Amino acid sequence: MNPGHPHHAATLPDRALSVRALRFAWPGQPACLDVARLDVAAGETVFLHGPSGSGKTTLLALLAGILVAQSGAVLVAGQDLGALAPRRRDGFRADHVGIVFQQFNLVPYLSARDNVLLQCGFSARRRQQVRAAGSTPQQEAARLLERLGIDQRLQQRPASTLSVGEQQRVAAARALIGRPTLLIADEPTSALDEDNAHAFLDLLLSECGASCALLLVSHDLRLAPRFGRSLAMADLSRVARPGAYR
Amino acid sequence: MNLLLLAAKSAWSRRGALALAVLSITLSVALLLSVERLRHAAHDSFAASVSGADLVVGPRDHPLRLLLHAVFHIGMPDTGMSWDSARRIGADPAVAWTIPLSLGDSHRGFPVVATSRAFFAHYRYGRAQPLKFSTGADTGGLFRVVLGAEVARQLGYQIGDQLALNHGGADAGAHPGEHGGHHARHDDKPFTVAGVLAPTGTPVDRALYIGLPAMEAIHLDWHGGAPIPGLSLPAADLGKFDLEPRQVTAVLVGLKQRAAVLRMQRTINTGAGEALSAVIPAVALSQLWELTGAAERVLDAISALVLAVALCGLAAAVLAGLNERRRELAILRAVGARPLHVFLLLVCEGAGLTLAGAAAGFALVQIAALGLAPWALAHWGLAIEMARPSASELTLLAAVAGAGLVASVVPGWRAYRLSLGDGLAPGV
Amino acid sequence: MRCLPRSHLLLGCALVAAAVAGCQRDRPAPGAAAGDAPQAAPRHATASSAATATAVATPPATGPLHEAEWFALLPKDWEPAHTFNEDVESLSDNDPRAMAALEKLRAAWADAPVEPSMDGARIRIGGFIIPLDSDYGAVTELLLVPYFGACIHAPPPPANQVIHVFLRTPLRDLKMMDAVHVSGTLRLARNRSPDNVAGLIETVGYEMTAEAVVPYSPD
Repeated sequence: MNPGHPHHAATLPDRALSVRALRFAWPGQPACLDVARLDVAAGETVFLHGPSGSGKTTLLALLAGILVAQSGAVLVAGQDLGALAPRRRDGFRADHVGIVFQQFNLVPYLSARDNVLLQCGFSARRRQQVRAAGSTPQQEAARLLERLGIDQRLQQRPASTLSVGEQQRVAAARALIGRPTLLIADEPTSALDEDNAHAFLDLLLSECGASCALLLVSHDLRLAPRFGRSLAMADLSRVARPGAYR
Repeated sequence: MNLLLLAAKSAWSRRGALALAVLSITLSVALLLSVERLRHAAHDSFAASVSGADLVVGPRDHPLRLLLHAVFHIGMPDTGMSWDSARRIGADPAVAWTIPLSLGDSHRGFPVVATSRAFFAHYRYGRAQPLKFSTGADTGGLFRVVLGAEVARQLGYQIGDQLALNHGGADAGAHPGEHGGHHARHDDKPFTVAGVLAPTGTPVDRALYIGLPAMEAIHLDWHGGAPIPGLSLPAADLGKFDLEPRQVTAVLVGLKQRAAVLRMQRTINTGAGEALSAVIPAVALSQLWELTGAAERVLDAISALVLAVALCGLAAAVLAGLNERRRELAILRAVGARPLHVFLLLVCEGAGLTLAGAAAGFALVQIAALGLAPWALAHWGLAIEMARPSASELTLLAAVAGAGLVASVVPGWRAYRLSLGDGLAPGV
Repeated sequence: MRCLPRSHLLLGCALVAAAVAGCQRDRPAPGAAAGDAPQAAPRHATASSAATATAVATPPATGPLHEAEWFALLPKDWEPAHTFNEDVESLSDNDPRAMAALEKLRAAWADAPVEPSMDGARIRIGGFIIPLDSDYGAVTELLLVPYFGACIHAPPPPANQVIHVFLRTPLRDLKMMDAVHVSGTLRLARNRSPDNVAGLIETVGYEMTAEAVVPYSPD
């Protein structure tokens, strides 16, 4: 447990994400992130824009629990990530957080369906959620992929044979299976052409629905109006300066 | 999907790069197993040749040399033991039977053994199996010969064929001496094939058997290794001579009570009169294996070293491919894999590849044994077994898999560190 | 994470261990008839050879094993040195009386009588082995003697200090002068040779069908 975490961080189950006084610095460098406060309600959609180098990826890594801040608190679904042992933090991420990257989201030698099932393999909670809905992981994966436009035939093929647009949709399905609390997307449409980008965003927003909060980071401001809230990295982090840090 | 399946699919997707490494493991395991099998085959084949004879008695000599010569027809005798001593041993109340043996001649590279009818009645091999004839029998006149299975097969002899014996050892050209140096032949006394023995997988297959009187008969007009000039005795006249042998090379002894062998051995070794050695065959073989033990251990060590090299090669191949897999590892981290999972994935992969290579090596050895076994038996008298793997072989395979596991810790650790450092954004 | 369930690991280890233990040292030699539990093959009696002692037909007796010492195999009243009626110490080495005495001693050892009460005793005894016969390298018969080097550089023990052991399952890893414990039912070996005087069965030593042969441990 980090010494800087405030002990009075309240657990607010209806908040998907809560950040307080977050400061992060890479070893031997000055702080690259300083976020006073960030709240995302359950099911809320948030657009975060900022140029590259402003610390977006670092912030996302912190929110996912891959990195741990030197001071401040990150609460996902009411759980303080810093309070968890690294082992448990990784498990928590599997249970509650879905991540979609800009590209290369998928394990190339697995099929689309196996990629989606990978997420369930690491999370007992997601498996439970699927069963509670009266289905099996295999069926749910197939259903999700169908809804996202990947038909049965495509589902069985190795992921490396799919187009970029198809791969992004498979990544979305993987992130969404088993009803996570929070979906973090890092520039998911930047590798897609305009039509595909909009179609993908439509799918993503409709699938997230009311149960899964969506935090999407992009430099493309044209996407912002589709979201419930729009934030700038420069506003969020007091040290966000383009190109200053890696 | 569990880690094992993931590791398997991951390795399969990189099979081009890994194939050579796995092949080197296959070959090194095959080497290890072959060395073991050949060693056991040699040990077992030797042991099989002396079942049933309680003692081998001959002139005072190193016990191993006596055994090797009398039973395995390896080496040359310097001298013999007297026929009197052989008879006296046969008359001992503790002795059930004796088989006198006389070596010295050869036929086209195969040794000729002069012996009595007791040989076919009492000699045992393998699992106390008696000798059987595949054709014919030990019947006929003075100049009859019984062939071992391999002799008949290689030289193409059948019942009724006639052959002449060479005076001197099988490779007389290599051992110049009293008996060697020239291929003198007993052409005037041809032998007739009376029978062919069934295959035994022992040196019996590679020898010819004549009666002791016949051995005396063909040397009657010889002296010191060469025909006496001007003296030539026709075969028909030989019946007039005393054909009892004066000397034999060795005597195989069977006792009524096997437990008396120690006492009998002591009596013969320390008896007054002719200096003799009595050898317990199993004991002499033990001594042989002690002698060869050092060489066998060296062979084992070299094979193990080869395997170690192959395992290093595999670890290096996996390690070299890690850089391209950093994205794959980052994806796994993103879906909730712990760095420990990444470590285990790599270790499973390495261990699995080693096991696959080792299993292939084992299969290779089995197939080779299947193919080569008949040939080895025919040419070397080695019985290579094809049975299910022995305990030592299974332990070996397990040890190889374990070594693969250990070798995989290196790339596993590297992957662990990489995934810790890379987080969500590997620096490719 | 269903990565590698511990149960799978344990099962795998158990399978490997069972496989190794299943084909332990006492595996049958090549070519064994399928399904047979190989027994020490009796020596073949042909028409012209005398039958020799066999010990395979008797089933093992049940009952507890007790640790036996070698002197237990000696008859209680056997003292071969009593055949000396001269003080041997006073004789020189070449004195013919010394040679005669030695011959008498040798004869006494050769005719060493057995202790009848040991017939049927279930014992466990330690000693050194001299392999006699093997089944393609797997030892089937051996002699158990009380001391090391019994046929190399020391005189052989008398007949009542030697046990002729038959192995039910041939063992591969036994070599000359290995120190072992042998367990089984001791029996008096009888000479069944047909050229005995009719009716007289001569007891000539000890024999045993081994139930277990294990490396020697000093406990």
